[in-house]
Amino acid sequence: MPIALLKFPYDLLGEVFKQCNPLELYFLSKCSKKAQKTVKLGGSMNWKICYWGREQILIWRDDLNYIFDPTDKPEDYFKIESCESMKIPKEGAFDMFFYLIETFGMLGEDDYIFMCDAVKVYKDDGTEAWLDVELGDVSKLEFLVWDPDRDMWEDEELVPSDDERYEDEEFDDEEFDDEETEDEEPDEEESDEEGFDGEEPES
Amino acid sequence: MAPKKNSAKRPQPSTPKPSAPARIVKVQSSDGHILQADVRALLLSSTLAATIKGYDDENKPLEKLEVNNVVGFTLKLVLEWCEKHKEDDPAIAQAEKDKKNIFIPSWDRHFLTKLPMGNLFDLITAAYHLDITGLINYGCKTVANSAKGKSTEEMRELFGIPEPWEQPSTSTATWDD
Repeated sequence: MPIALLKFPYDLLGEVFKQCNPLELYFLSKCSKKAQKTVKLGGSMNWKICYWGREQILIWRDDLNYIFDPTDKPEDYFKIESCESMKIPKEGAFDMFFYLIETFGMLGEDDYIFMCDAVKVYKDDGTEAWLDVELGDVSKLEFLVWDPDRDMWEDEELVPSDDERYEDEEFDDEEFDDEETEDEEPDEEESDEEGFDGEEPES
Repeated sequence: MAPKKNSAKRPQPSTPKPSAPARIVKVQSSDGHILQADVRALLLSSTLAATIKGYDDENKPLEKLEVNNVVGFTLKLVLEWCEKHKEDDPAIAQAEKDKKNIFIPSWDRHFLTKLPMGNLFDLITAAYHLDITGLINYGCKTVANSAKGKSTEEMRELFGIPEPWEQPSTSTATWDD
């Protein structure tokens, strides 16, 4: 026999929800529209929420962190990796962020919502830059010129432009011409194999 | 020579401190069942405590308390829980109320988890009406625990939520796949 949770008085629901984590409440909110509204009416959870530009959604309170982790693999969607982490569709991460804010009723003055996202833009002079949008204590819009030292992710590989790649290298022109005729840029592994990494090509 | 028996007195099992004799009153449920309970157990309910205090202030004999919104079976469970916790300091339950992670003692865990979900709902609701903080804390924690590790489909079943979710956005597009 089920327990009619949604028939609890709101005070009691608040007590139950206080003992649930954001992942559990997310699943509950998906049961029905009424369930979603009920989660919101259960009272403020005093959580903080943060959206890091398409990378992940983080919810935390005190020392407890919960991660909604975007993935490209459909078979992993909504899988719980640990008690604190769940995979979500990468394409839906943005919608998910606002869904969670709404569902958890995190739009009060005292609630902490932080959003950091960036889009790639180009200036008229050809400068490539990122438009960084932050919605936090103080909203700001910042035009950031790409700085690899600052902006690279740890596991991201920098593919240099042609000018940068060959600037200080001495190569045999004929061998190099073969590469130039192809549209595809060689990746780093290929570069290593073909002696672009400081090795003298055979003459 | 036979080993000398330890003549020293062994520590005796702790015995309850002598206290005032139990004051037993009758409690009547909404469906007419009459149960008996120790007043100290009933004082865990703020609602009943106020009623009892009213009788005492007016020096009226308290023969029977009527609990109009709790049926007999549930009231029996409530009184069983209160009897077990009648020595508890109410301040502890009040302090636990604000905790993010409530610890349920083993007796209470056994008491609450053995109940069918329907009875648990009635018990928690009764605790709410009677304002019994400790029972509310443990009951709500038990309900929250029952949801752990459940999928949405399992939660629907557990909590009797019939309405299927309409899937409106990309973030939920694969939910029922």
